[in-house]
Amino acid sequence: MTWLAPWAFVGLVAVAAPVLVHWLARQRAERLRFPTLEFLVRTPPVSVHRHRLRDLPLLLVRIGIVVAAVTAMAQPAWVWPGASASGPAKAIVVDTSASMLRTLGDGRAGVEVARETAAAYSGESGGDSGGRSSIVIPAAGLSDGVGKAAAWLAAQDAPRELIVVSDFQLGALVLSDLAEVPDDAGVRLVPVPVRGAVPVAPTPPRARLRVWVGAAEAEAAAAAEAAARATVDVGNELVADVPLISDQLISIVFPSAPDYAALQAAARPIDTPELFALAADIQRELGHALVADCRAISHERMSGLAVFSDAEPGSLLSAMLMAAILRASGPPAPSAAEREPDTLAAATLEAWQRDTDATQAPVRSGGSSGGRWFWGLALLLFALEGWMRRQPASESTEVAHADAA
Amino acid sequence: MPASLSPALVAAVDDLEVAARLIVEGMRSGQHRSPFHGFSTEFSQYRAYRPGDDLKYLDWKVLARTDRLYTRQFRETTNMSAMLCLDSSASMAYPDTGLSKFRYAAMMAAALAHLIIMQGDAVGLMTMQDGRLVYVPARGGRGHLRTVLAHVDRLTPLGQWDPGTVMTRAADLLRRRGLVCVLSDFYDDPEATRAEMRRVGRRGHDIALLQVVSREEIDLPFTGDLEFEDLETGARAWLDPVTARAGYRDALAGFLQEWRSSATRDGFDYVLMTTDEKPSEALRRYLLRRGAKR
Repeated sequence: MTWLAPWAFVGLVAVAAPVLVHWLARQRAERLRFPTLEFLVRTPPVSVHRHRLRDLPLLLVRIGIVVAAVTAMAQPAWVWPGASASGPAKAIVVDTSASMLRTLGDGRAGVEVARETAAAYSGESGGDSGGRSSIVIPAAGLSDGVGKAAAWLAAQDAPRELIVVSDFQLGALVLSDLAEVPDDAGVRLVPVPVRGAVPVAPTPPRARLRVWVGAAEAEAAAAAEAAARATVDVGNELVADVPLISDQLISIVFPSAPDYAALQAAARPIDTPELFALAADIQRELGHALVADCRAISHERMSGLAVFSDAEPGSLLSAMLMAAILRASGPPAPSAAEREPDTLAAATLEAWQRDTDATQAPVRSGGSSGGRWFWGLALLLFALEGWMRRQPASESTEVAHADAA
Repeated sequence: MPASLSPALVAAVDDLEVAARLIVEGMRSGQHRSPFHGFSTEFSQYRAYRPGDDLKYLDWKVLARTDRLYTRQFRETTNMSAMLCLDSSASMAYPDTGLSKFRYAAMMAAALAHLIIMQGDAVGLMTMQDGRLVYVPARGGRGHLRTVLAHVDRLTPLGQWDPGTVMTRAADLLRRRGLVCVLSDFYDDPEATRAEMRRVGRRGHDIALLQVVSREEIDLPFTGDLEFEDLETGARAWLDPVTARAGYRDALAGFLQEWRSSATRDGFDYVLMTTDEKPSEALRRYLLRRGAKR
């Protein structure tokens, strides 16, 4: 049996009322005119109990009325034999995405707090007490995690519940993801209040830039490259330090470069997907104003992607080209959303949650019905109390008549 | 013959004379022939036994000595006077409902008066009502019986009474040796009452004590705390009858036994009557005891 309103048991203090009434109330004793008190008052002991519990059966009935009423107010709910009273089966999805690497105010990582929260909910389900089972599903993508949890819950008996512990980054979970959850299952969304930017793992550039130019124009080209690097918000300092993923080299070749003709001859149309992706990125960075002449090259001086440019090495065009190449080949810059991601509003989370539908559970009866039974018992006892209150007078009358007869 | 009637039924008869007659008739309707010879019967003479004589009047001692059958004959004395002393104190008003001790004692007094008058003797009444003596001189005749019964009927149990004074005055007003019959619960000052009785007894009067108590007084059948109020003094006491019952019964039994013992010791007739006993049977018991004593 469980209690839906256990606070009502505070009302049990009311039991003291009838006890005090029976104990302290000076009972109006029936007066009996008697021929002589001589033989009464000289009989030891003369018992005059003015303060004692009177009418014990009546007192017990009155206490029963109070207890039944309080029990009814506590709204008992019975569990069928063999069923667990320890709560619903729980599938707990823990968000382990990058945004959960952010920290809370106390410095702990969000994912760490999420795991602790999940453990707490798992323990609450009574797994260690032989009750309903629970499962913790770590998921970098909430949608996937919720899908797995829904599948697991579908195999469980009611009552059942889905718990999602996450920072609820905007877009990580949508309402349609919850549609897979069984209708009778409760949904609880537990937000983890992480703050700050998402820590980004350093990403090496995809390629290195080399500028091929004649000695006379080298200085101007260097200036243009420096200007280009300054405009590109990528970790160009890291270019030299971080090992490259591939050995790709992007060479920008100006007409003044040595062996320009030989390089032109060695160049060929792009023939690998990697180089094509690089070329496409470079062109996207350039936009529609310029067209980069990107070709594959395999030469003793260079290999990889060669971008032939007719622009002056120190010109603005060359600087723009170099900047586009740097952007295309460098690591992707984090978006503003990743720096401080938006999260679902608390009102939205509240709206998406739903209680566990206990009425669908085959193991538990409605709490209100238990209360009704106890109200009925209280009324029955009340009637009994009234009957008992009327009894003593009629009994004594009968005795008197019988004795007189 | 009318069967002996229950106390409640007899008490329901308002007319005391009728009630008295019912009691006396009921007493005579017993299955056994009464050995009662009347208040004023005295041995007169012997005569030869004749077939049909009651064997109980056969003198067995004479038969043993002389081997002859003689029947004892009695003669009625018409000049015996009896004074009925009826306790009309408040304690006799118990119980409030049903047949009270006073009503029972009044019926017994009426029955005795009826019996005495019917046998040609004189009967009077002495009691104390509200501190004043009520006196009806002992005379015979049906008219006087009605006078006595009318006085008894007018009595109401209230206040206290002084049995010593009542008995002394009753004995004083009996012109010669007679019967002083006291009907009371004898709760009032037993020692003084007994002393006065002995004084009256020494003056040659027969004394009969008819102690009347109710069944509730003997059994104390009540439950729950009660506030007992003394009918005479008005004193009150909270008591749990269940707790007090055993001690009370012992004390009351001792009190009654003391009266029985002292009466026997002093040569008085003593009969304890309870209000649940049929009046005719109580009267028969008294008369049997009196006859056996003689």
